Amino acid sequence: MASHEAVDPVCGMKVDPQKTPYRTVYRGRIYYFCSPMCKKEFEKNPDYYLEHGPQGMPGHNHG
Amino acid sequence: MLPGRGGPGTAGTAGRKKSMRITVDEQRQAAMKLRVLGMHCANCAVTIEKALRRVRGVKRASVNFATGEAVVELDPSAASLGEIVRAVRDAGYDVYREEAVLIVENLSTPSDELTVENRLSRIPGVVEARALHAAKKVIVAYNPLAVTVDEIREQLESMGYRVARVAAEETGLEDIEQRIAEREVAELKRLVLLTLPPSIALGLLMYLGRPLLGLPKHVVDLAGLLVATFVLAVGGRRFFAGAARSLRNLSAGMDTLVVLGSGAAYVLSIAAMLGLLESETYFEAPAFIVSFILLGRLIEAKMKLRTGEAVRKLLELQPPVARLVRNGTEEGVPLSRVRVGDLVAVKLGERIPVDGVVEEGHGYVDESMVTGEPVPVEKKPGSPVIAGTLLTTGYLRVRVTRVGRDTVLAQIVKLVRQAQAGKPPIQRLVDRVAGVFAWLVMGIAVATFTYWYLVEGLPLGKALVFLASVLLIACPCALGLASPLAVVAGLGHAARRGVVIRNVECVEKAAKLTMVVFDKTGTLTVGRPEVVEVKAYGLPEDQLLALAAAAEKRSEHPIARSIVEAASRAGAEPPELESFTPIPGQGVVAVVSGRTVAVGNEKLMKGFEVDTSRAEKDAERLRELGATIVYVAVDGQLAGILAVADKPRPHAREVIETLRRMGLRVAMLTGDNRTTAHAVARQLGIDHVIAEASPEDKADEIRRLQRSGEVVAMVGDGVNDAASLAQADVGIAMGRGTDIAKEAGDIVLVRDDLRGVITAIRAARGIYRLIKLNLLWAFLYNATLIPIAAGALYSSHGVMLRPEAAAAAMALSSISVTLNTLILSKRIIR
Repeated sequence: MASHEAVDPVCGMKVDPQKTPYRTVYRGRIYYFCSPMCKKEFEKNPDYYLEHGPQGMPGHNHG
Repeated sequence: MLPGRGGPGTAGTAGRKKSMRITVDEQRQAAMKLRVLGMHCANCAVTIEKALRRVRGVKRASVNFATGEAVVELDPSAASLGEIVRAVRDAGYDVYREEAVLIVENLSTPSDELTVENRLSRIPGVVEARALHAAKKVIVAYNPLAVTVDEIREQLESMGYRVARVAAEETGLEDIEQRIAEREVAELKRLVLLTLPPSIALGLLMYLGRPLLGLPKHVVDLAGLLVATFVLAVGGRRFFAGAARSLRNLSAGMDTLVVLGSGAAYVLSIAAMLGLLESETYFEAPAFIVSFILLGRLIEAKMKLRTGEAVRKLLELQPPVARLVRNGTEEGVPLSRVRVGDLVAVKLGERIPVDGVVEEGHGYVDESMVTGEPVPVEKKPGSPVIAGTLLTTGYLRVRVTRVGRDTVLAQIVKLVRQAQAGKPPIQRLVDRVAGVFAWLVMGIAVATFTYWYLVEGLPLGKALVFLASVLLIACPCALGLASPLAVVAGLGHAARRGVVIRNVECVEKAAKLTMVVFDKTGTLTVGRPEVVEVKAYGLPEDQLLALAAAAEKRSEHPIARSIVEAASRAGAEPPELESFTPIPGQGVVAVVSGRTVAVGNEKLMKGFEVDTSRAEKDAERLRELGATIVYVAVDGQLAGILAVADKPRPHAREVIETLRRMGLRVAMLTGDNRTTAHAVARQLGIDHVIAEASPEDKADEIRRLQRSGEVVAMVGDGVNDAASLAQADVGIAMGRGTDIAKEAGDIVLVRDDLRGVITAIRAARGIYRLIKLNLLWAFLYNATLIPIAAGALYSSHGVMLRPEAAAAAMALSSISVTLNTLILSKRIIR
């Protein structure tokens, strides 16, 4: 759980689990995100992202 | 940042034209470096580059993620830094800027403000320039990679302004401002005393002297010439200087009107006296207008000094001398010599000179000026104390944590001053109108003259009188005074009631609110939740508490603290923590003695696929009572629930009731469970509840309300709610009496008291009403008197406004706006 690097399951970006405040728990695992957008996107449809892997930034702009 | 949310004010006009006098070399304009804030990945750099390239006039843009710098090549004639900064901000990032404050002694009218703002924002590298004639200062936000303060200063000086001092920051200038303001008052007083008595004497001579004493006309004329010449030479100098400055910068303002009006009457009278023109003499008109406007400015300056002093009085609560404890002995030293880390002694009946923490001693402190609580607060070793508060009983030794400018009091004063210098949007509009107005009036004057002289065939002398009257009466002083005075007065009143309005731009919004949204925990409730019930399933209660406490030990959430406290009360020893991950809006996940412990809400349990059905009956019952349910799962199995409850804040019900009576809708916004939220809302009398909102959802909820047409104020505790406070039209942060400068929010309630919300909204409504009233007054005056001065009633009724009457009326309008503010501000802004 305390790995040094995590991958945002939605956009595929590397995130620092220590730093990002965007986290959620799904099926007993903690997922880390780069932005609230990714987090929201994941929570809408977690299985899709876990099955298909990162799909890139949701929407067209981020930040 | 400038006060306000950094709306780029006048920056939009930048870059339209390049001035000849700009001394900055073209090279830097062609390729400009900016430092970009907020980039966290290479992706961001691409986003910003795209945004920059879309700005009109940008030829090339490259953003380097590693150095955090952007290099922008642009067409100097098209793009301005303001637009570039806006593009970066719109993309979700920011540009590093520095801010300089220049004290400009002869910045005296709103038209100066406009000239300076326009010219400075054309300098490449200047993001925003804001000039404030009331405070005699110019605040410039600039890109330090492109322009220096010296260059800005040179530009101002080349425009004919005297820069008295430059500071990198707002702080530390209070004394200078104060001194300049005092000097201005003294100077004006001298001028009024010199010019007003001879003017009045001249008036008496004209109206009484000639008919009663039968003095010959040429004697009176000669006296008039002497007085008018003296008054213009002595008192008129500042107006001539101002008008000359305006002319140099190709603008026109109040000074221009004064000079043209009095000059026209003066020249006309001389011509008449010499027999060059068939007309009466009007020497009293220039004498009147100059001395009366001086009087108006004196009253204005005095009032500003007074409102400034009211805020300043807060600072004076800090005693100038502290008892420094060294080697066990006390020594009185000036406050300026006290440093952070020193130990100072405070005796009974003395005010505490610094912010600090009690190291030894015991006593009661009256903190009502900061907290609003009239009951003295007990202080013992470890208690924090605030500078300016009064030790009513006992003796304390205090370890200094903050001195001088950093103390809570100094921060309050600084914020209020910054805000008082700001402008509500309505004033920006008025300033622009006033600039146009001067030209318009000159046009009307010329048209009036042409009409009477050429069309109606009046003698030249008479036609010129109309011209002079129009110029004299239309001086828009009252218009320029209307809102700054109301703002300065209103913000001062509010500050003395513990409400710091940091952002003047929000005053208008706050006056038009339709809804107030409260955050629940810590805002509507005291924010000290307690564990009121423990239900363990399958393991002893104290073991459940111990595991939960171990997991929560490192969290700063108030609920976490309540669990840790409950465990220690039950005598449960929390085992060692191996790892800890807080999940905002859900809870925490921890590894304790090799077991995975999840402590949090239903959502967290769902994430762990924990079956909570067994606890549902207990949970629902407790929620109905307004308690928040915290689930504890160990290795994926439900181990128990804790019911946590928080007391409503004192006055919460009363405040909500009052807001509703003021015509506002009230809502509660919380991450809590629906049942719990509704139970609390019922207790407080709130009917609109937004529950189960995650921290990042809160701002979205506000946005949703705004889209449905509400003008929303969000009340939160300022630390956790920064995003929603920023999203709301008006963010009201509950201060804790510390670090208020750092808190988010347009309005900060310094006293940790909900009733401040009412004070804030009432103050905003009052200020806004006062502004409108003042503007209406000023506008009505001009709308009725200009036509009369132009001779609208002359043909039909023979009514002609003599120039000296126009001069007096003009001065009276300024004085009446000032008096109106003085009298009404106390009554309206409660």
